[in-house]
Amino acid sequence: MNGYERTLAFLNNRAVDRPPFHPIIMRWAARQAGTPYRDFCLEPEAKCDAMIRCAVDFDLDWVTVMSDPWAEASAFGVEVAYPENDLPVDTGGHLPDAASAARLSPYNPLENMRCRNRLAELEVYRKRIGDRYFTVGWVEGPVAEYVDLRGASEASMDLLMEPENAARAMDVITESALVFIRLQVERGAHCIGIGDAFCSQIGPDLYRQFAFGRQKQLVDGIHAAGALAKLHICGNTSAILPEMIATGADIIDVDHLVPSMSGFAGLLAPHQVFSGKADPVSVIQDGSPEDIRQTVMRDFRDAGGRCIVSAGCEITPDTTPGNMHAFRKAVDAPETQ
Amino acid sequence: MDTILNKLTRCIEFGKTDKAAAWPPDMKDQDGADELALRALEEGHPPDQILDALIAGMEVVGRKFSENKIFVPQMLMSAKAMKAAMTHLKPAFESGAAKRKGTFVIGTVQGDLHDIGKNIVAMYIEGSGYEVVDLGVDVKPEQFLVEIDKHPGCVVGLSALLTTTMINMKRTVDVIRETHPKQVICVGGAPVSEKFCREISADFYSPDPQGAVAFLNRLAS
Ligand code: B1M
Repeated sequence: MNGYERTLAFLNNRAVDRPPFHPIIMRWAARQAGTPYRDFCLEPEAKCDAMIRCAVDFDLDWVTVMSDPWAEASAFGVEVAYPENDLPVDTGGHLPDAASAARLSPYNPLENMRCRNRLAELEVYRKRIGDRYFTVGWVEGPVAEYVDLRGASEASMDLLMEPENAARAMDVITESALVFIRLQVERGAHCIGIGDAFCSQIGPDLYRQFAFGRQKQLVDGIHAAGALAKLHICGNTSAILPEMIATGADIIDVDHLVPSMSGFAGLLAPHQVFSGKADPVSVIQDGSPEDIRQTVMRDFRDAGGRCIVSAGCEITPDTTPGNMHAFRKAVDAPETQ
Repeated sequence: MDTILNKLTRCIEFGKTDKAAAWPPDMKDQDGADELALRALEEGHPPDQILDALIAGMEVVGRKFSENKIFVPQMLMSAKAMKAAMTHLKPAFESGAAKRKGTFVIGTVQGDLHDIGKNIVAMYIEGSGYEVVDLGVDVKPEQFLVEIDKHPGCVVGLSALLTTTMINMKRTVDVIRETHPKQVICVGGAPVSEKFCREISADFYSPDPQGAVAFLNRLAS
């Protein structure tokens, strides 16, 4: 079975040789491949090359277009600097207040370099690996994107002080994301991830008010375009996991800060699985191979076997290749079969 | 009895900054921390007493935050209310009419842009009676040195949210200790731990703002 077949079979409750292995790699991938981070973010060939090399060397089942949160923000007008070998930084062009956020206009992904790059990355994957790996495109979720455009503190306070203006901006963000989703699926993405990490910081009431409906719209749009949907919210999402599942996303990411998946596994529809949830720092980076194996087994058991093996969020750049191999090996433990 | 100071405490608890603020809806058109702090001073309440009212509000906010009853947006609104009240108290502190418990120099370490946790800690510490010098994000070790020289006896607080910038936390501690071997340094942020704090020879680790305040209070007493 290849990574694509394994992932699809697992999602469809068909027999698999082992559960799929989908660790989120960005800075780690660039470091393994010796690719300067600026190139990783800005050059589709460089990113795809690094991702494919890691997928081959560490026997991952997926490849993604993830590197940093600034693609859509740059299309909306945020200025971003790309240091040679460091993370991109937003340097200006943010929305100065909630009233200007309410006047946000949709962007055309084809007119922005970062968005065009994402489409190009998916084309590179289609050309180089076809259906051998599960290929995942990406959009920022409504709350995360609003945070990118306004700044985290300002965005947080807007949710309480200027809810109508924030909601109007998020409608435009969602409308634009739907266009971007269709373009990514046309370029060969099997699945689109929705990254809405900040939702773990706003509490269940604001999540329901601002995020749930729009995330569901995105999931429906992804399905209508013919792809699968993944919803990524890291942090402690215990209070919103039932709603995250109710969005209908096929893959629901769960972070290590959620104490256990056991209470939530019963809420999954037959087509849904979790993905998670080892602690990327204390277990995957700093743990022993045995710690990693125990954690993977425990999480898999807690999820009633409906869990793609991954860490709760990004694999840290300092994780050793040895620990990454141990992580992959943990998927073979008899308890996960 | 609903005294002006009780009202002020409630404004901090619920994040009511000023009369015009739309949040929280059930305190619409009521005076906020801004107006109440000013009026309390005008009515002759000593600044220390007003500060105590603010601290009482912050304590409730901190407790609710740790119990997941409120979240980042509500916490930031309380911080804003606190700031509004503190603007009126500042002159009294600056003139020496009221005393601060000490100075806390805080920043997110070099390479790291996450500032919400750091802001919350800063606000909590300011609200507990300390002068806070907030150096912002992506702070180079040398910037801390400048502030340490300006504020002898201060405590330094370092925040980091990325495993890759934790190394800069260590570098910052090393650089500070080269010239100020006795400088007290407190560290925090999601990936930071007690063990890491010991490894880099910082003095104190706190997982939350309350712990940092308790540490400062122990030092000040
Ligand atoms: C001095 O004494 C003390 C004492 C206590 C102290 C203290 C100091 N400092 C903090 N505390 C403590 O008290 C506070 C209050 O209780 C607490 O503070 P915290 O800061 O822990 O908690 C805050 C109240 C709330 N938490 C937060 O504000 C962080 C939330 C999440 C969603 C997050 C956000 C918002 C952002 N991010 Co970033 N981000 C994530 C986070 C994922 C998540 N869901 O948690 C995290 C932290 N980010 C991460 C990453 C990887 C990144 N981020 C990046 C960017 C961003 C945004 C700019 C989009 C935004 C930051 C906005 C801002 N102005 O802060 C990038 C880095 C940019 C940079 N150079 O820093 C980028 C590298 C992504 C990329 N590839 O570009 C991950 C870190 C992984 C790791 N362990 O290394 C992450 C866990 C998300 C993930 N899924 O991978 C305590 O820790």
